[in-house]
Amino acid sequence: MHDIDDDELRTLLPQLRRFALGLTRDAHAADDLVQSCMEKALVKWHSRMVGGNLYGWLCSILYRQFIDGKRHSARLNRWLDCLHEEPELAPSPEDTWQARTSLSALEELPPDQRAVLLLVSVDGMSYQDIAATLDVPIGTVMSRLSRARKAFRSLTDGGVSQPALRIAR
Amino acid sequence: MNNLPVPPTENELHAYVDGALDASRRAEIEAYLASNPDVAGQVARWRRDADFLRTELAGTVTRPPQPRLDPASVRHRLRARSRVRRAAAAAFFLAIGAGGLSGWQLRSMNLAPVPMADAVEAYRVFAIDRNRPVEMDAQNVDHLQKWLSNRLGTPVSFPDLRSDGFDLLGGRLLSTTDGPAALIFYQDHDGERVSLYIRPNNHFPEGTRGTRNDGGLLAKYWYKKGYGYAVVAKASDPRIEELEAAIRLGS
Repeated sequence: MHDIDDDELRTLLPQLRRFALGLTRDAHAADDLVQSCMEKALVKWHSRMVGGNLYGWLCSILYRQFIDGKRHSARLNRWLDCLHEEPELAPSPEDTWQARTSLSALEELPPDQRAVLLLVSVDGMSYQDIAATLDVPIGTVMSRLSRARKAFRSLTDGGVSQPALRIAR
Repeated sequence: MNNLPVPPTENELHAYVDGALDASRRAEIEAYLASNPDVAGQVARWRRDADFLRTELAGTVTRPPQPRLDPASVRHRLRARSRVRRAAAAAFFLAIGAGGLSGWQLRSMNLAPVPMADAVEAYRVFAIDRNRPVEMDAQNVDHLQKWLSNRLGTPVSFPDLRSDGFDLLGGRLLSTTDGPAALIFYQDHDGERVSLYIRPNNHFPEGTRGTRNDGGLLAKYWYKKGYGYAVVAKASDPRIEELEAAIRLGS
C-alpha cells in the first residue's frame, strides 16, 4: 500500500520542487521546504481527501510551511538527521545559478501573490483548485492574480524578457 | 445592437489568458480584443509573463533527484527520528533519576542529543573550577600528550596559541559512551579559558562542521578522521573565531 502512495508522490516531486523554488528562489531552501512538506504529508497522509487533488493538497502544506517560515524546525530536523543519515547533497552550482539569475522579480511580490501567480501560470492549476489549496475564496484568488500580474509587469517592464538579456545570460 | 458582445471584465481577461473560459465567451473576447489593441496589448504582455515564468522554471523540473526527498527516505527518516525522540525521552527520565541535570531537562523534551553537547557540558563543569580544571598541567606537556594520545588512540597535539594570548593550562581524560575523550584548556592573562575537546565520532558524517550557541557558551566543532573536535569559549569572547581556525588547521 505504501508503494502506491510513494509512486504517486514521486511523480509529483519535480512539480513540487518547482513550486517551492518559485516561492523561495533558493535551491537549497526550496528542497528543505519540500522535505518538510513531504514529512508532514506522510505524517498526516490519512487526513487527506481521498480522491481529491493530491498535488493541491501537497501545495497547501508546502505553502503553509513557507508562510510559517519554519527555518528553526528545519535546522532542528537537520540536527536530528545528522544522527542517522548520509550527508545531504548540496544543490549543484547550476541550481543556484538558475535560481539567482532569473525571476528576481518574483521575489518582489508578496508571498500570497507569488503563490497564486505560480500556481496559475506555471502549474496551470484552475482558480477553483487554487482557492482550495490556499484556503481562500475564489474572489481573493482573482484579486491576488490581478495584483500579481500588474506588479510583475511593472517590475519586469523592459527587463528580463528582452531577448538581448536572455542571450547575455 | 443586441448582438454586440458584453465587454470583458478584468477577471475574464485573466481567465482568457489562463484558458479558463468556455469556447463561446472566448470567441467573443477574441473579437473584442481584435478591435481594442490597448487591451489586447495588455493581455499579450500577461501571457508573455506567464510563458516567461513557465519557461524559466521549466528547467527546474529536470533537476537531478534529491535522494533525501524521496518518499521512502522520508519515511525512513521519520522512523529514525521517532527512535531518536524515544531515546531522548529515555535519557530525560534517566537524567531525572540521576538527580536532575537541570540544563538537560528542558532540552531533552524537545531535542535529541546534539553534536558536541558533551564538549559544552565539559566546559561548563571544568572551566569554572579555579583550583583543578585539569588533571595534568602543562608542566608535563610531553607526558600529557603521550597519555591523551594513547588513551584516545589518535595523536593529540596542543596547538600553540601564545600569539593569541593563550597559554596551555593542561588537560584531562573524560569518558563518553563512544570511548575516551580529551579536554584541554588554555587560559589567558585575565584567567579566561578556552577548551579544546576531542572525542571519538560514531554518528556524524566526516567533514561535518558547525557552530552552536548554548547558554552563553559558543562551540565550534568539526569532524575529522573518526574524531570530533570542539573549541568552546564564552559566547561573548570574540577571539574564538581565530582560535578555532588556528586549532582546526593544526588538527
